[in-house]
This record gives sequence, structure tokens and C-alpha cells, in this order.
Amino acid sequence: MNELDCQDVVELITDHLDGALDAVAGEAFEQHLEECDWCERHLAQTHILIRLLPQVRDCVADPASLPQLGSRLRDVRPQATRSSRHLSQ
Amino acid sequence: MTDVEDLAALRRRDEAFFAVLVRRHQHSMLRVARSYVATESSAEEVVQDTWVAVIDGIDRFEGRARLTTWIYAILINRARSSGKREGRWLPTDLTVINEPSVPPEWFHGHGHDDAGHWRRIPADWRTVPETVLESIETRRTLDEAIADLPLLHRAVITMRDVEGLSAQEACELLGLSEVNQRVVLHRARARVRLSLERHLEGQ
Repeated sequence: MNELDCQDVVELITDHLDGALDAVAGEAFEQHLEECDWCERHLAQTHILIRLLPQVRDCVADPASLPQLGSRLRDVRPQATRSSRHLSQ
Repeated sequence: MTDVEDLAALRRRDEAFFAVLVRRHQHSMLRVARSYVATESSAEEVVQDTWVAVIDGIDRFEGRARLTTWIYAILINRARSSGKREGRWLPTDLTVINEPSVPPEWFHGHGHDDAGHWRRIPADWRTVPETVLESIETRRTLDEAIADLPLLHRAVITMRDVEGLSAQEACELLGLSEVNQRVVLHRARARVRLSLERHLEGQ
């Protein structure tokens, strides 16, 4: 692969992160990153984005169905076994 | 592999643990289910059925897979059946965004000595304070950016980056080829990254 420009590199980031670049493309990618501070920043932005995304899970209020699921849990809960009854005494 | 303590809590049908689990995954599960069914309320039904199936099936779960992966396998099976009943072949919208991941005008154009190189220098997010990165506003920005994506992109970025499933798991569960999964994930991340960039610029 010939030298990559920045516009090529930004399109290869996901392939790079998923280890999907072949040896030649991978080397061209690494080489560009070593020499280009701006692409390195762009890659760092992507890393930060990926680090922040799990926070999106906290965007939710308590689901309305939670109490219903709780009662289902109590219905199917296994009876305490002999040994665990001993332990709790 | 599921954590031994998590597995033990599941087997005891520990309500507190289960409530944490539901809170942690509900929002993302609704999003993924919605890729397969026609309405929000159908998606809610699918998620509710999934939790019931998780409760009833805990003893069959051996803990060799990650718990999240197991839950998503159940979710997608159910979502797919519901979608089929609604006459859909899934996901409901297979639109793949076809656009450069960074606006072309941010690079020097043809004829310029630096053609294809940055004209608009990327901001260094490593210097942005954690209080800003982890603020509720930032979280909301990310959430809204995901909600604005086409359905398939929403499902892929949610499973990969929000829920942390591997590429292989996402491909298997969604029935996508590796290449398609990556293309969709790349476009999804690009759009969400742009939204985050606009948000951080406004800080």
C-alpha cells in the first residue's frame, strides 16, 4: 500500500481497532500515526469516545416493569437447601 | 466468562442484583429490540419477555459466556420472532450511512500541497477535564446522538461500545458479516464523535 494521507487514515480507524487491517495496510497506518500528530489526536478522540459510551447506560430511570420482575423472582427462587438453612441458624 | 459472584447472585435470584442488572441493560436492550420490531411498545414487550426468560432460564446458564452476551442472545431471538410476526425481515431498516467519517472540507482539497491532510486541526480531548467528559450533559449528548442514528447503526454501536460485546458476538447475534459490522460501527462512531465534538466545542 502506498503512503496514506489523513483522509485515508480516519476511514481505517475502526479496522485498525478491530485488528482487521492486513500487514501492509497496518504498517502504513502505524507509520502515518507515528508521523502525524493530528491523526494521533483524532485516534485519541476515538479512544475517548469509546471509553465514554458505556455511560449511556445510565441515561435511564427505573423501568416500570421492575416490581413485576421482582415478584417473578420470588416465585421461582429455589427453596433454601438443608445446608444453607444450617448456616443461617 | 461470567464473574463467579454474579453467577451466584443470579442463582439465588437475588433481587437487588437483578434490579442492578435491569437498570444497567434496559435502555440498550430497548434500543436493540427496536431494530427488529415496529414500535416502542413492541420493543418494551420484547425486553420484558427477555427478563422473564432470563429469570426462568438462570439455571440453564452455565456462566461460560458473559452474562451480557447470554441476555442479548435471548433478546435478539425474541425480537426476531416478534418482528416476523409483524411481517418484518430484520432489522427493520438496513440503511447504511454512506458518508465520509470526517467532513471533507476539514481536509485540504485537490491541488493543495497538503491535499488529503488536516486543514481543521482536531482538538486534543486528552486535555478536556474529566468533569466535562463525564458530565450528565456529555452523557446526554452521546445518548441523543445514538438515538438519531439509523436503526442498524443504533443496534451495532449499542452492542459494541455501550454494552461491550466483541465484534464476533455482534456479528453472530445480528447476523452481519464482519465487514458490514465494521462499516456500520465506523459510520455510527463517526456521527457520534461529531456530535461529541460539537458539544465539547461549546463548553
